[in-house]
Amino acid sequence: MATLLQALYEGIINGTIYALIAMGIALVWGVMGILSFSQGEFLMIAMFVAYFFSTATGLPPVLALPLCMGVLFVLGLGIYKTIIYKALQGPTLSQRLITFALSLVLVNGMLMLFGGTFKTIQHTGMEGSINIGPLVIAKNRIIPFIIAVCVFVFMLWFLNKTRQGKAIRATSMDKTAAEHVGINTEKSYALAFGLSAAVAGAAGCALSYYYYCYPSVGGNFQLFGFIAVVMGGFGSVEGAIVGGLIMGLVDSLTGVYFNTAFKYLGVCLIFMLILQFKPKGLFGGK
Amino acid sequence: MNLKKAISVVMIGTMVGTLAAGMATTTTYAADTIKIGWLAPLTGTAAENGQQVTWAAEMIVDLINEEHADVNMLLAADAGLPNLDGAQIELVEADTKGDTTVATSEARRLISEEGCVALTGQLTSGMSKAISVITEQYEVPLVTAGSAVTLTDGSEDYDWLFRYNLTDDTYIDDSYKLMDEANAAGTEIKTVAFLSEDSEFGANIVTVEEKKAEEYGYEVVENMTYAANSTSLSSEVIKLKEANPDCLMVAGYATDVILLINTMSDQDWFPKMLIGQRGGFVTADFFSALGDKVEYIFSTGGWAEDIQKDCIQSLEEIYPEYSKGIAFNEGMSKDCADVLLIASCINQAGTTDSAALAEALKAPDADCSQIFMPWTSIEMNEYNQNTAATGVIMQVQGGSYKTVYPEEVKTADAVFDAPTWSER
Repeated sequence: MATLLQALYEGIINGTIYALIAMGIALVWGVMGILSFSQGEFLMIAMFVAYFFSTATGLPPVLALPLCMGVLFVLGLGIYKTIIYKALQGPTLSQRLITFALSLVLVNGMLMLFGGTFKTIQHTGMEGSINIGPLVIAKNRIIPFIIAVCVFVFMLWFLNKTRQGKAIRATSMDKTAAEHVGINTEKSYALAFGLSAAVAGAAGCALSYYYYCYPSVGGNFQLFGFIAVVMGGFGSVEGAIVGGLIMGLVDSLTGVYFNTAFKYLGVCLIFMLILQFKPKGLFGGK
Repeated sequence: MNLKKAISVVMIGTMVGTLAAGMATTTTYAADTIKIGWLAPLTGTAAENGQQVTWAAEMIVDLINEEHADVNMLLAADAGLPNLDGAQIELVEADTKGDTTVATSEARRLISEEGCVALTGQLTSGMSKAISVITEQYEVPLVTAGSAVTLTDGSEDYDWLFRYNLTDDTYIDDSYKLMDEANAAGTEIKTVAFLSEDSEFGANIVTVEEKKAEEYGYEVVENMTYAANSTSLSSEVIKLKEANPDCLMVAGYATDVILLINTMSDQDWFPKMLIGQRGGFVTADFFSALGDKVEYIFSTGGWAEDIQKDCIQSLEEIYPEYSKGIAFNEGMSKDCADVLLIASCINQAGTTDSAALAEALKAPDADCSQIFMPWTSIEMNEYNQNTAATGVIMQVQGGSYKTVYPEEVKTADAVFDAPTWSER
């Protein structure tokens, strides 16, 4: 029982990070039909921001959350205006590959700037663990979980309840119709890309609590993000959250109860199984 | 030429220049140079470590080429190779990008286009096997520090592959002997668990670990492999915690070792003994990324900074000039020793002829007190393996590795029963 509880807990914690990555990918795909291969690199940049903030000030990384999200939002907007906007006017293949090229530029740029050494924040202010019965809760996993939940709630509120969020959703449903009713779809595109980068920024800040940071770190999480998006349903933010959590849980439970060598096999089998019954993903039909 | 064209020309020129620089960076000398091919990851995720090892190899070459009477290392007293009229060694560097396919094509280029007389570098066992296809074809010596037993146990037909460093067999023998010492000292070590990454490196090590556990009479309570660069090692640690072995042996690269130790700390579990099988445990990142969490961790090694040899102290002083302050470490010592031995054997052969060089590599006439490794002699067997190579086991004590095994070279006593995280 203790092992099951621990496995479920760890699965949910890891799943929230996958879900944050997936959420950004789903948003960009849903609104503008672009596969964001640079989502992992946005996460990486945020990890560097959190790392430098925390080591320079001695403050916990969570205080860098607004900075991480702000820097990434501005970076996302900038990239949209200078690169993505132009690519959207070109052939579909260019649109798909532009973020892939961008990810290579970001990885190599960071490698040139900061080198390839692995950086970890050694004193997060949340060292040690809390024992609740048989469950060991590492203190440095609590904050990432809270950050993730806050971002989920904020994003769902923003997209469903605010005027601009509704405009983004309308644009994702039918761009032409949205323009006919007076929605500035160009603004929706830019905001969606900026927001997706900001969400990756939150993921990076959360992850910096317990994961090492180096220029290629994003690639480790990107693939999981894509699988979570497809599992949840392309373009569905809610689906991305659920997909990410399922992946974290399957990863953890397969490793504990089957074989650690095949835990990614478990993830992929569940992924294929879901697509057999729900080809558009869990929330894809909505 | 309009502005756009001018910019294009400049950009293409820059790219071609960068590509050429990346493909082969050579240290050039005026005349009478002998080329040794050096393969290491200079870009990609392993670039940082590859670059550090490359700087160390460049330092060894400089010590050989210039006169350093104050450094008690082979070939350092004279400028160049004395038996070849002071010929200089040129290290022709090639970037493997950490990719076996790239390494193989670069090995071919180093031999066929650059005219290298021998190859070495920062090579894994898997990479060494792939490159040996080329070196066997061209009949050029390949000297590797990859530790897989299968490289030199006669299971493969390698005539041109040489290894002066240890095999996994010896490293793991040392690990079990240290566990025996723990038992003798009163710390009860009966059970062991293995955690290994799933590439050639981890797979080779765990095979030997399993075989030797039975020989030494230890019960294996868990044996797990994981995918390198994992996003999470939580389930692995949960299972380890459940099995609760007295000793955990880990074979992994830096990224996974960092994640593992952090996850163990998060889940509040640490065994009585944790023995790393080199890899990520002997990199500079191990200390810088984990801080005081590395305390009490053991690692096997082919080298240790506290071994009492004059040349080791000299290298420790000189290397920071090449490395922007990073200290000379175990990971780089083995590959650099290979460079030194190749140069020494070229000098011994008095020629760069492949056959003569291979003969010299089979029976090096080198004074081991002038080699910065713990070995006291070199004895090559019929499979070109140095059977006299000896290793050490180090333990992090007070923020740095101290040699705790074997008795003859140890500089500190091992702490066998590591305290829990909360007791630290």
